[in-house]
Amino acid sequence: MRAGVDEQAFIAAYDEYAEAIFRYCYFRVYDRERARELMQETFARAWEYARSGKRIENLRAFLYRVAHNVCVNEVLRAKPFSLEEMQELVGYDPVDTRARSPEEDAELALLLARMSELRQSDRELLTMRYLDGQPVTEIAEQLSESPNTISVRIKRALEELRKKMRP
Amino acid sequence: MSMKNNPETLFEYAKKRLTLSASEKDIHRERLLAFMKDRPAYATTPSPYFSAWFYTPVARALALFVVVVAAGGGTTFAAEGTLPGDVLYPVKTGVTEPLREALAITPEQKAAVENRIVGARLAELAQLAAQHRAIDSESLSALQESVGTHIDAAQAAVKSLSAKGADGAALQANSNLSATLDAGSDILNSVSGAEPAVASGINVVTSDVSNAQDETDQLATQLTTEVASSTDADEIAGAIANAKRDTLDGLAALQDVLANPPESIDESDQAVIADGIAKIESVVADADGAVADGDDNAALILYTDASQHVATLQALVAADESLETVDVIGNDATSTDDSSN
Repeated sequence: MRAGVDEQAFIAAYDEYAEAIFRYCYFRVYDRERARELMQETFARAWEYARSGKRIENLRAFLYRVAHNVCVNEVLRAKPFSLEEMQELVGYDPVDTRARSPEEDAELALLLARMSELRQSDRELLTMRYLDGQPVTEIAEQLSESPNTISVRIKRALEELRKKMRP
Repeated sequence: MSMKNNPETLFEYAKKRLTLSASEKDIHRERLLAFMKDRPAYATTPSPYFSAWFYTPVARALALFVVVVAAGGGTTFAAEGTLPGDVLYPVKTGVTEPLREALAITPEQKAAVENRIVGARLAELAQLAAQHRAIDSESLSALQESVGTHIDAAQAAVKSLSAKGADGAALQANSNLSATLDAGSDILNSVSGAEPAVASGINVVTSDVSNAQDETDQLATQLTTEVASSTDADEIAGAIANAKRDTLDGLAALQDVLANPPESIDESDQAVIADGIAKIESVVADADGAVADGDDNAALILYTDASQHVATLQALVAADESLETVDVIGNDATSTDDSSN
């Protein structure tokens, strides 16, 4: 983005990126309410920085970096979530009122449970790449890594997830 | 159709399911608006992250031109590979780097950011020399000062980690800085040998780097002792996971280089890289053995050593690719030390 982020531009950014930042936080804490709070905190801290007139060249990248730093201080659960816990979590969804099949829910629960078994850094990469659709170069820029390293890590993380999901 | 073995398809489904409702989004939007109303934007003032130079009409016009030409990537991205004297260089040192520093909250993040900046400064000097570009004494002094400042900041972050009892993380951060300094020193020495006309300018900086290497080595000795006697099993386990991941990812990237060598990596370079990889793999095997024996403290020291050698070798490979006129690999720089044999 542009120098001197004004209120209008910042709110437009909220409208565009709130859900992606929410998902990013969700995969850190696996708690919908906490993820919402962390998303809110991310935007508040980003505004705190932006309102001083400091330049932000790439607002999406900036928001992810703030979200990463906000989440890093979270006390994370020591052990991964079980499939049963995830089925419960997926089954209780007051937001999604669309008709859903039990098969789809079961597979989503499986994905979430196996994702929770991955290393934090792998979950972060898969979320950024596949849930938010960010290109490797952009992820590399945000994480201050080379695109090569990020490609290798994504490939390894995806392979690890595949292995865990095999019956 | 079952999606079980296809995470990519499941991610698409998860994307639709893991979403905010319209009302949730509105609630947070209202809260954000209230927060912003309470803390409005300051009146437009020049950012302290911009040098006065950048606000001159000519510089702005030039920068705008470059930004337009570089459309498709951000200005920050365009500035990333700039050198002293380039139009967008002040964006890198005056905007991008201070932003990264400002966003680094934990000592681990601070150490990583400062380490990266040190590496960037040393790489810039090597690039300038290899491209036969003139560097005036003021720019050289600024670069030298920047190297010193960010080395100090990285070392301060390492000490801060150690002070709060995170010995494993401190050892790793110190080891990363060592890798940057070792690779930087070797690269600059190679450039200095190939370009005698600029050797005296380079030597000013390599002398500072050499002093910093001594300090980092001393700190490594102290931190290794602390890690060896640490009783914080969780901290050590976390540090092992990080060091092992860095090592294996770096090894995979180096193996990729060998599988698809760029033009600059000739056969003798490939032999040196292969030798380096073999030595690092033997350190990893020792580290794995230590884990199997339940000696995590020793394992961390070994993994950290391996990750340092990987990082050094990766930096040398990258330099060999980017410094077209200088052969960086193929001298003593790429050899791992005795501990890896």
